[in-house]
Amino acid sequence: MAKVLITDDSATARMIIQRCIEVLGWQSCEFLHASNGVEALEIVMNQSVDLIITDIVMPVMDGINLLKRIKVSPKLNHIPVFVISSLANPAMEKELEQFGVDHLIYKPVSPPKLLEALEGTLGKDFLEK
Amino acid sequence: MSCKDRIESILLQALSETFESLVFEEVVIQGIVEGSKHIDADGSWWVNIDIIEPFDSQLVLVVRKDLMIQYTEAIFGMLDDEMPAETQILDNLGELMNTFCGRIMALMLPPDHSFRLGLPVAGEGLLPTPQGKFYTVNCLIGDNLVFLIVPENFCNHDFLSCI
Repeated sequence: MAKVLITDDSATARMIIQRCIEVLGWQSCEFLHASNGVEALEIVMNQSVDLIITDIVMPVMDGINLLKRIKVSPKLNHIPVFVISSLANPAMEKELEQFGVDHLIYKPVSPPKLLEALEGTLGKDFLEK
Repeated sequence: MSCKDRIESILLQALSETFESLVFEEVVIQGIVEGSKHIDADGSWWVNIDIIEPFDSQLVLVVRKDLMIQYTEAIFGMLDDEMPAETQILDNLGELMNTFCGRIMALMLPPDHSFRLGLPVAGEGLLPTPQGKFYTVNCLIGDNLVFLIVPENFCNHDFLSCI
């Protein structure tokens, strides 16, 4: 069963992302929730996670710093990271690419957008494992 | 297409993309009026987002309480006897507004142009109306009226100057 970690300070946003993945037919995923980057790091240090989906603007540690920490860690850098944002900013997009983001999705999140990211980045079989 | 038609078109597209994705409701704009006297603030929650870059402005969304409760129950998959907490409802309202503002700025600005928004601030009672002249966009979302307050300076930005 694939484990998906959803990181956003808004419980509503986390639930919308989870519902979108469930709508795609992957109800058997295990969903883990974190409300900031520090909580997310604590989770990935203590259990294996197959995918991280994170917002950018969050208190305590934002999504860009979470991405950096994941991608510089030899233990964690294999985990794909999708970043979700409502902000269009070319400089931010470059920074995310530089730090190794696997996919950037603009809000509103929808099942087709997530499907494109999941299949494009991870392959069709990813969530069926 | 006139500038007034164009702002209506952009607002409608941003509202539709937001509400259809998040609460599966269709959006119709019923009209744009000056001021906000017709809004029943007592029975509603409002959410304000400041636009910080590339220009200073703000947008305010006003939604009836019973409608926000209904949206929150749907998003969290609550059963009939469950009632969302106010923090969940206001979080939901903030997320709706954040998504809407992101869409409208992306639609208004050229693709390579940055923008920055403040954090959503939600509340009830006296509406945080802008200083100076402003308009209220009356939106029919499903069968329910939702109001979007737009300052004149937002409408006057760039190609929207002739509204």
